[in-house]
Amino acid sequence: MKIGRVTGTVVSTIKYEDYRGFKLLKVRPIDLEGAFSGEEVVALDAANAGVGDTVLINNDGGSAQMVMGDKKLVASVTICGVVDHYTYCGKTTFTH
Amino acid sequence: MQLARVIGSIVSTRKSDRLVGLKLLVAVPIDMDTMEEKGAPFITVDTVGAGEGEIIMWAGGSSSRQTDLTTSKPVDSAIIGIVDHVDIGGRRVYDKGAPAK
Repeated sequence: MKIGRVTGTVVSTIKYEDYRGFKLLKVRPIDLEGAFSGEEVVALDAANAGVGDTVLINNDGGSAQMVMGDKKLVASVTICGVVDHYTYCGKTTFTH
Repeated sequence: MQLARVIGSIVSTRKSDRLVGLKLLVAVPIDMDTMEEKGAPFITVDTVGAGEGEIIMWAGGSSSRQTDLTTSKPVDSAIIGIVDHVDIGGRRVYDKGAPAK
């Protein structure tokens, strides 16, 4: 998993049937200093996250099926947690 | 499997129900030749009781869901061992018990 920041919402009307009712968010990976790193992706939200939240990004299809509770779901990236704080090299960073 | 060093921990309250009870750590990949940190840090699930500063083995992908703690849990990497020492070509490149430089 990686950490990222939610940068926006995505709305799709015509979509794969199994996606109905799921919230889509735009999320961009960040490094531990909080700076953006890497490409922005669209993720399924399983943690009730909102724009500006620092989140756990899971980039695994099997995990996506588990976290969304659908064994046939075609998905890769999910947001599976909202980060409260993290500690590294003795420094604690609170994200909200 | 790959080597990494645990550099911290991460806390999340609002999360997928299936992640409840798992210990999340921050780790950074280790280059086997130099035993130096190389690459971007990542979040991984601890199954063996690893702590900050330790060099660990981790598995990624669906293999990470084969441990007792992570079965049917939405994880994409898991710490599956704490490294005691590494020998390459007859040379000890890492020893956990050795005094820190």
